[in-house]
Amino acid sequence: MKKSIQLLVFICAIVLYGQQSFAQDCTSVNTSRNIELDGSSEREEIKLNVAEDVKHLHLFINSTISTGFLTVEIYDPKGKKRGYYTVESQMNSNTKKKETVCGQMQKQISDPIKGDWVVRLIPKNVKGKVSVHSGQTQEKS
Amino acid sequence: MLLVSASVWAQTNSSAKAEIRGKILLDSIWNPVVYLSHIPTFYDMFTMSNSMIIAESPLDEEGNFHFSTSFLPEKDNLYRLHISKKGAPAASLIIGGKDENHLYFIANNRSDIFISNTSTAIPVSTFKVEGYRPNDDLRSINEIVASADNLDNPPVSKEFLSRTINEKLRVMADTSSHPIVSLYALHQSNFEATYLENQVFIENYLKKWEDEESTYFQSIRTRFMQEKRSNLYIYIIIGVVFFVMGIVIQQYIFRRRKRNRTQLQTLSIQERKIFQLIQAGRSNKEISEEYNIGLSTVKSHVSNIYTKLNIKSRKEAIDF
Repeated sequence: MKKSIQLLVFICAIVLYGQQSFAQDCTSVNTSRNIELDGSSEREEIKLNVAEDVKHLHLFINSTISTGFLTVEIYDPKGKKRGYYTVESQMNSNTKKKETVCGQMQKQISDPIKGDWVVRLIPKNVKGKVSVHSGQTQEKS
Repeated sequence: MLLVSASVWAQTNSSAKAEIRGKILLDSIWNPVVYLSHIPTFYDMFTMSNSMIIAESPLDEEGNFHFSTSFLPEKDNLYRLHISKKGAPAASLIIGGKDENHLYFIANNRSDIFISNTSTAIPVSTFKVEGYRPNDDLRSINEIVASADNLDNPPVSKEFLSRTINEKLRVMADTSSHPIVSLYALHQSNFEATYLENQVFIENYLKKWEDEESTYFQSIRTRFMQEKRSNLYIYIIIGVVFFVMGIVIQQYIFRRRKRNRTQLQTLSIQERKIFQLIQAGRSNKEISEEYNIGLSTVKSHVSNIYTKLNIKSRKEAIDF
């Protein structure tokens, strides 16, 4: 009898733990985009749609350029700039060689505003690569 | 003699001290080299190019480095110290995350600055800049800004706290006696986005620092003027739109009245009298009593009036 009660308590504990961990489970949606720029000066926008129940938005932008001037900007759905950087590669006057320049931005936004977040690329004669990775975490209730 | 000796000692001592040095701990993913860049304006803080790098110093086995400050300008300027990962180019900028690779500080050609860190896992986040007071204020500003970014509060509270923090930064900008520190506080206060709300404050602020000719102030002034000009253009465009709309509406009313007058002339004298009473809100019965005519005659006149004026109801007759 005592063993049965212990077994019952054990099973109940496992079921409750399982339910609790299921309740706190998270789902995530990841996107990835790679862009190659070959002397481009055309603006490009990458839209990331964020739903209402998203708890965290992760953004990871990486750019490596060998020529030109590239600005990367992040805007929230209200149009407010939430981050930016610029990388510029010029020819080295001493070595007469083009020099590679890297820019990287990592951002984690809690309770992001619902709507379209925009990663805007503003290149000027850019040769290089840009990758934009995003992750959205939703909390299951 | 004593004065001369003291002066020589002071000069020797100050030139010996005038350097940016430090000891930093890095793990094996980083190149053992630190780079110094000059940041000419606050808008260039997140710009990276080889041309911005003005010096580099290898780290010795213990992580020591040093730059001479003798070639720096006499006046205070903003500088960036950064490291780059192995395999990455020297001109690498990493913003955010544990691998953030740069910090900013103020220095001049007499500065004696010591930079150190305490962790290899997050090397830059634990950087400490000692030896020149304005950098303590810069750090305080950064801490205030970071507190806004790391809020785990609901969005409504975040909005409120963000406003409070911006207000605090504006107070720091207003009270700081160091031009770069003051302007840095203003720059971090999101002043461009809240320009219209704080226009008077910004105008007074720039007036206060009107003698400052550094590139930091010049760039802010240029941006402020652009902002002011673009707002002026918006007001002008709105004014022109309203002016044109006013003319169009006036023309419309004028033409309508003219058309109405022409149509009214098609009515007979009796019909015009009845029409005036309709416009005064009288019923057919009241009109028949007023002019002592039969109700069916009034109805007939009303029907004619509607046809001639191309209207369908009493309401349209009143609005005519």
